[in-house]
Amino acid sequence: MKATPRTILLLALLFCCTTLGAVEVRYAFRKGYTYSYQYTQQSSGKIQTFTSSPSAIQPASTAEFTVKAIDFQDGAFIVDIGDKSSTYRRYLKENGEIKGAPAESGQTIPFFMPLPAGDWKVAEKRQIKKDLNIGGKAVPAAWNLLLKSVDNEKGLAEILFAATMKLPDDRLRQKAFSLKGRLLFNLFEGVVHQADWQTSYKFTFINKEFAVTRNLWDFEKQLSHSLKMTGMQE
Amino acid sequence: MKKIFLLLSLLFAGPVYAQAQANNITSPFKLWLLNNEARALSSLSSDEMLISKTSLPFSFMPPSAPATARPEERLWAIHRKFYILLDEVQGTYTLARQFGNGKFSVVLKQARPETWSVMPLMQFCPELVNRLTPELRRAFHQTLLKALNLDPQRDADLTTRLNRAIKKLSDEEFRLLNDYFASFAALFPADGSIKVLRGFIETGIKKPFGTGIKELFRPVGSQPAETQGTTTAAAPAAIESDDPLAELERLAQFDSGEISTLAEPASDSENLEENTGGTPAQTQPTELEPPPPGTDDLFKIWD
Repeated sequence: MKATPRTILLLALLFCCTTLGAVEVRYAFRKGYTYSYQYTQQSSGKIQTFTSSPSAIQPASTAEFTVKAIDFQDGAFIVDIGDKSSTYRRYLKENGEIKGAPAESGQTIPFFMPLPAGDWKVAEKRQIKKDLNIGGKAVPAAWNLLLKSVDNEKGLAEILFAATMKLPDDRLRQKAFSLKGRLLFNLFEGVVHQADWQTSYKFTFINKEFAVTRNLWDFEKQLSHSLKMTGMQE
Repeated sequence: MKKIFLLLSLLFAGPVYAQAQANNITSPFKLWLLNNEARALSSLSSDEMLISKTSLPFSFMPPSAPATARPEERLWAIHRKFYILLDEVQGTYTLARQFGNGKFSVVLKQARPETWSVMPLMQFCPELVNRLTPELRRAFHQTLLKALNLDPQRDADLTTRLNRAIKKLSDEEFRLLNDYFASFAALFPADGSIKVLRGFIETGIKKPFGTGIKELFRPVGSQPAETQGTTTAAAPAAIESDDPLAELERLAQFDSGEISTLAEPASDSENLEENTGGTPAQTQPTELEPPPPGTDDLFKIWD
């Protein structure tokens, strides 16, 4: 009997410790709410060819869109995603994966970043792999996530994410792609508060005839993306 | 019988094709560049499709994405300028090869084809001959230029035409074209067309070539008799002795046995050697000289 209070206390301490260092990150759109976002994209690119290097810059363009949460059924949020020109209905799972996209039937749905299920400890890395099927060929891709920190007062989880994808290449076409970003997830509301990420693409095109090799073109492209929640209303 | 016909067709097809390709100095390079463009475009397009599948991490974002920077478009735009230039270089080179030595105009003036149409009139209405001949001569000349697709404004000075085309490229673009030429030459050392092409552009900028074509734009009788006689007689010798095309073709032939079709016919090189040797080898143009004074010229072409 003496051991019972101690055991309860120990169990309570253990529970507190585990809950303080781990969080469950999942979407929780509220039914009937409309979430407003602002998305900015900027890109630049250049080609190195011998002594010339033509370049191009696409200035920052900002677009606004809304996410209207209609309902939650069969483990998926039914949302209407609308921008100025069109509206798309999607069924989103709590981890961010798509369950259905009736407005995009016949199209290949992108490999979106899924959030890890269950408790996620700070400094813990998670990896989600998937083979993208393009033109009958499987291209391996993966999302790598790291829970960097959790601000319990503000209810924000800082997550670092990166995508890796092996673009098809050979000796004469060498390619590299990388995506790196940072996400602030609102744990209280269950939505993305802010996210910034950059993609980088390099493509070296080589000519080879017998023993002679010439590096013809080096393509480089960078894209900067920024997403910010601007409002939430019922 | 059919087999013999087929064999003969095959035998003739080779020389005909070779002749058609004889003046073609830009196609191998153009095809190489176009092929590289196509391969690069294909890779860029498939990669872009793949990247679009992962560059948006969040499923609650709309699928439509803003336009991105496309530096390759600028490169393709520069390449389009190259293609225009190469077409112009090819056109200039072909004209220089065909008419630049002035031989064609000499042969034409010797033949006097316009006179044959008035031959039947000589017996019945000789007075009409003098009136009709200049008109027929002019009409024949204009029709000939049209048939040969020659424009006096554009083609009279081939050096100017070539320089005008090259000046449409900026210094940086011209450097890039030269870099491409160097790469192509390194990758395909057996291809002699690139040597001719580079040499033609390099020498064409510096010194005049194909000046004999000017004679083609000058109809017979448009000049005073004495100047015309001397021009037609002396022009080919002067042109051939300083013709950069012949040197380029000899260079190409020397470097590669595969492009023997680009080489000048043997008689031309012999003439060139003779000319450089100091003995004038032009015997035919002497027939073009005006008749001695007092002699009745049948058609009065030299008036």
